Amino acid sequence: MIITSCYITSIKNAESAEGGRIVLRLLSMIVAVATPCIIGAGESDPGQPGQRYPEAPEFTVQPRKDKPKFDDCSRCHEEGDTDPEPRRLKTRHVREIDHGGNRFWCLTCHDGDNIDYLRTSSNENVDFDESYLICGSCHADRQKDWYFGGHGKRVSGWQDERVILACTECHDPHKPAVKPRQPRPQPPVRIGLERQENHPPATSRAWNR
Amino acid sequence: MALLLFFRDAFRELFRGSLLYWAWIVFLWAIIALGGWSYIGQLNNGLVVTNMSNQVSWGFYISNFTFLVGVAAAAVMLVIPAYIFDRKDIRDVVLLGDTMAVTAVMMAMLFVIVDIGRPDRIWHMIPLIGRFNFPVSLLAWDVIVLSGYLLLNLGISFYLLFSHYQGREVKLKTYLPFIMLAIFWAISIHTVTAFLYSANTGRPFWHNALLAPRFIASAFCSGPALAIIILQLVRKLVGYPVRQSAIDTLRVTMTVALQITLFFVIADLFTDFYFEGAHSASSRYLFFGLHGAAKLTPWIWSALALLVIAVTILMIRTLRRNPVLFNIACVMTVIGVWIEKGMGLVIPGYIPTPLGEIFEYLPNATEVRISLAILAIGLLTFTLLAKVGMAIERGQVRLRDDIEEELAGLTNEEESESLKTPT
Amino acid sequence: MARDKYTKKMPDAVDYYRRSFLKRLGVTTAAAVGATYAHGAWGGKSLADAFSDFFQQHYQRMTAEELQETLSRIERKAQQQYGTGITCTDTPPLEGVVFGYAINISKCKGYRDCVEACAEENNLPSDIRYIHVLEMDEGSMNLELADRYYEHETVPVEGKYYLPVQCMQCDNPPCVKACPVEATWMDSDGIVVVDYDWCIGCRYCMAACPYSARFFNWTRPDLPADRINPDTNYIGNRPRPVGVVEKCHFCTQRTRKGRQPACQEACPTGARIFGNLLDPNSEIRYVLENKAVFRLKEDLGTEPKFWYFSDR
Repeated sequence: MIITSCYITSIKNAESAEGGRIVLRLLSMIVAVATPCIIGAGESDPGQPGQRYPEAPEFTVQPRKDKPKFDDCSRCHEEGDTDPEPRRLKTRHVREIDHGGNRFWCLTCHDGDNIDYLRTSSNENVDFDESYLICGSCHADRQKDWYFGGHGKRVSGWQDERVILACTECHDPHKPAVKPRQPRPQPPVRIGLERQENHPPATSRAWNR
Repeated sequence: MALLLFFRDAFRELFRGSLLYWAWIVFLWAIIALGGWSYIGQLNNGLVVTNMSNQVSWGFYISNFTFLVGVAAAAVMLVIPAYIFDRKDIRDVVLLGDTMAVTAVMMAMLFVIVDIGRPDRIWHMIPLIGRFNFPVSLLAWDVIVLSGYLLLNLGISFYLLFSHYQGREVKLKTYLPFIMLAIFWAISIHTVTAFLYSANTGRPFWHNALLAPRFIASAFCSGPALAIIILQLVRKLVGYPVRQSAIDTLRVTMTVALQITLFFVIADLFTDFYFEGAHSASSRYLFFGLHGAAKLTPWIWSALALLVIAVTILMIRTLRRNPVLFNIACVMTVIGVWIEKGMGLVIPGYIPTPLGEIFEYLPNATEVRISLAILAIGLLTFTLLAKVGMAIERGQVRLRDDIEEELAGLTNEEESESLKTPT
Repeated sequence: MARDKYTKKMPDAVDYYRRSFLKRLGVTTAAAVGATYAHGAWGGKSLADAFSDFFQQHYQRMTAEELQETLSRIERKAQQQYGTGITCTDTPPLEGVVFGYAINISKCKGYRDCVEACAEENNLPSDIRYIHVLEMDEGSMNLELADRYYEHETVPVEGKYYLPVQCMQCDNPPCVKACPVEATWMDSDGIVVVDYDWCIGCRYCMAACPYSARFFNWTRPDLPADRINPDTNYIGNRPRPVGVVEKCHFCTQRTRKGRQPACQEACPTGARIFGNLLDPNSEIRYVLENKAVFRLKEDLGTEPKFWYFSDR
């Protein structure tokens, strides 16, 4: 008798847990979709670092603007002369945008009216050193991780001041996938011994490869 | 005073012997010198001169250690019938069993010493002066039980020999408690050594409750087998009286233990291979090879073949009555257990590594030379101890009745002896 | 502070006995040696240093003066043996800190930058690498199929993922239980450290470790003078003697001063997250509370303070 009742409770628990999970998932989806809108609606002080998640531990982003590979767009672009029409660009622009599945073009992220700035999907003006605010328009989950330290890289020590890298430090916004690279040398075996080639064939069925 | 004379007479006895005896001693010293030379090289360069690696970090030395602890423990198979079952025939030879135990423990300890990276820091184990991680570390337990066993056996043997030397009847009452302790202690040394391995949850090949029973069972094969060989040799070479009934008792012990050992092997094989998983990888490596690596398979199958043939000989009366076959069965048992409880136990524990790497190991010449030297040290120790022991037991070395007279005549006697030798 | 905690374990009388015994031995022999400062023999050390080496106390039992003496002797020996000047300091664990590490396996690309940075930082001999980067087959966690020796033009390779393994700094460390002489222990910040001058080299800890995280100095470490990291500490990256076991110690020489471990610093993808488990706002705690994490061989009960998680 007791066993049966336990069994039933456990089923109930499992069900409610499952239900809870679904609710959570829905909620998180809503939050994810809504986050930029909510902030956009606020209209207050767009693009203040840390504003998206005020409860996140404080941080500063290692600046990128002063790096030599950065061009001042306004050297060529004067105010208001940017043609908003999507087209193939010549001269010193990025040729290919391998990001966003062909739906993107320059002004998806760059601010055409104020070419030294970026613009979020909710029309906030954002400095190049705050590019993470742009990335978060789509990658909200990742952005949250980044704020809290679950994604990205901390370049300062583990305690005290928290200096972290911007998204664009590792991900070229025009081609964000990390490029393959040659690995460092193979690990050694003990001095005086030779490496043994006993590597098993790759299987364990996934699925029969 | 009697004690000094005892040691003097014992020491003298060592220098009395036939040409064969001296040839044997010189031969052993030659092997010791050869291995000693290799050991100096190992001390200078580190254990890099062996074939051990970070993947297989214990090798031939610890394999031999494990086997020898079993041999030492098996001396109890002479002690139990001698004292518990009150068998006079076995009590006559029990001293040889004790000597065997002492020698085996000493060799086991030597194998540990040559295996450790910093023998100069061995004092770190001394409680209080050093730091001894007892009772947490199983290795600390092993140190305790092994040194305790050594002392216990040395003590009992010494008491018996010293009493006989003085021509006194030994009082069973005085030393029976120590005998009882030694019996339990013997089981403990091999159990603790098994626990040393089965304590490692990260190595499924060792992490097995059957390991300790397997250790005990196989020790009771190899130990009596070795004792049978030694007793026969002693009977033949020295003419020491060893009654056949003593050997028969050992034979029965050994046969039963072999049967149990093989049964345990089968039980382990079934568990590993009926539904093979990650925990069976080491067994697969040992018995069948893993992904092309199979350096140990010839060893283990030889061991199993030797044990099966030996148990067959021992179980069929017509075969075991043939002295040649019988002795072959004993030798086979010793070698079989040496493989199975040595390389066959230690090495597969490391293959594959906990991270799945397969890095094989076989001992190199240096390890074999150093191990042979330890074997030679063991044989030398046994020869010398047994020689003195047997001489005392047979009454050839005795304290004279009148000590005063003995002491007075000491100088004269020595002179006369030294005069005698050239002739 | 930590020192007091450990020394207290010993009754004072025993301690006095031990000290006086060792001192007597020391004084006697030192007198015998006299003021001679013989070089050449004793493994490139002076006789006096060789002697002090032999009778050196366990790290946790050294008084402050003894420790200072030992540290300067270590610096002297490095000069004599490797021909380079190092500084060796004592780095006791920080209060209120327990270190934890998490690796984002979807970000690890198998470059092995951590492996090499670790080797340089920690003065590793040419045949020891604390970090094993395992190349794994997608769809499987079978370590037996892992390849540590992968070599490709470029990584990551399609169909593979990469699993870096190093010392997990277990909270229930089997290696510490195994050691017969207490030469390895877990400090209050959760790091399992080794006193290289107390280890007897029995290698039982290597048998006990379920993560292949311990390494033996089969011969004297081959450290070229120009590649030695001179910034060392006693319990971490100082040059090790022959015949002792060593392991990853979360770069105690750095992390106990607030810095990141070398592997975290070297990781080009930011896959490594290091921090204080006791700080609820730390990045490592965020990962533990918000990501689906797992630990390697958790079923063994070793309680690793080393987690894996994935972005995907």
